[in-house]
Amino acid sequence: MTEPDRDELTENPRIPEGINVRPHSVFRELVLLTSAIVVGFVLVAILLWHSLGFLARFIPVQWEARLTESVGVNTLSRTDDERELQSRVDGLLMLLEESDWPVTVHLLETSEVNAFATLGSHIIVTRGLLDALNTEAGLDFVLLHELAHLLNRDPIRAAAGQLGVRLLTALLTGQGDLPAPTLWLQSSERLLALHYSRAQEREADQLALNTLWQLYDDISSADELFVFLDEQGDSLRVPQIFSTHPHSQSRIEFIRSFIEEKS
Amino acid sequence: MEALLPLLSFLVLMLLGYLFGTVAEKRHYRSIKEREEQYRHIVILSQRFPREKGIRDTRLVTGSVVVSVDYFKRFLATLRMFVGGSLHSYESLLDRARREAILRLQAQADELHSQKVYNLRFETSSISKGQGDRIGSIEVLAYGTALIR
Repeated sequence: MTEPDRDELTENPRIPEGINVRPHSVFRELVLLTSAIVVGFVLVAILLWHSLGFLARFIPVQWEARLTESVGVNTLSRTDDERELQSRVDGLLMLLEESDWPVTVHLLETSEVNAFATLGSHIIVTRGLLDALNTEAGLDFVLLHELAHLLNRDPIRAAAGQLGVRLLTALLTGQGDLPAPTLWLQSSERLLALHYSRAQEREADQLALNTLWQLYDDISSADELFVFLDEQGDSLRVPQIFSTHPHSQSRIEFIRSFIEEKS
Repeated sequence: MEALLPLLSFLVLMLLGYLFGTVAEKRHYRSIKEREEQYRHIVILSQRFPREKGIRDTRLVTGSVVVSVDYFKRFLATLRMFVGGSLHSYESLLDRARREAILRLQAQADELHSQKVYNLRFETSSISKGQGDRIGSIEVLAYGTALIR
């Protein structure tokens, strides 16, 4: 095969434009790609969250307790306050007809006002919370709320859902090249977790109120904690969408509308 | 507010990347087109063996360019990697790099008073290897044999 004779060429031909590089809108590409990826991610994440959360309900409570054994929570040297809280919780469990549920209450010596239920059927109440509450109904509402989380298996459901979505994020961003998409996906993952967390809070409030209604004639002080938190200005701190819990103001309204409805 | 800071810095980087990248690209294309006209008399051929007479000397001429993408384009490319398809954002970058490499080769040939370069070849290599699968910076090398009469 002979090559064509180009020895007589005296000029380079002009490079035609628009073949190797086609004109296109980078913004359109950015918007399309971003929406496709975010929508796809959110859909798969919701599916994973729901299915893993659903399956997590079937994990036996004893297995869940074994998961947290390594944390080494001290249940031997309990203070009087802790014992009192424990008997209060045991009483509430009997009322809920769940007396064989192995719930352990711990008192955390801190001025922070907080209470939470966690993996392994543990409820942690802070000294600050005990000091802030003056009525029994107020304290029982908080304990019932945390018990409702445990009965609904919220801690293990959240852990399973988060694990699934984290795995998905890691799978997607493992092949990425910039921290920005990772950041994005992690933010949407966090927003998703917060959304479900707020829904679970509402559900726990509802169960706590229903039980409290059976226990007391007057449950007007059920919102005591939220009134206290609202006075501290917690509703002003972060927008609700970035928060794990509904704002105190909205929870006070929820409790009051429940009382109004019942009476 | 703290959660918004990374988002803000990302938006600023994207905007800066887009603005500087667009200005640099436009300016570069303008300069490429001007110089292509200027060196149009230096003929570049991929043919290996010249059949010309009266050649006094031959010389290796090279044109080498190292380029890097801007933040905006790199981000677009990262998104593209999730779904596949043409990496439009890198196409113009590589096109500019190849044309610029030829122009530098032509400039070298011009200094040698050569009007023909035979056996043009390209080499493209990533110089950010070993940093995951990044395509951060690349080198385009064009080389050929300049005929000197």
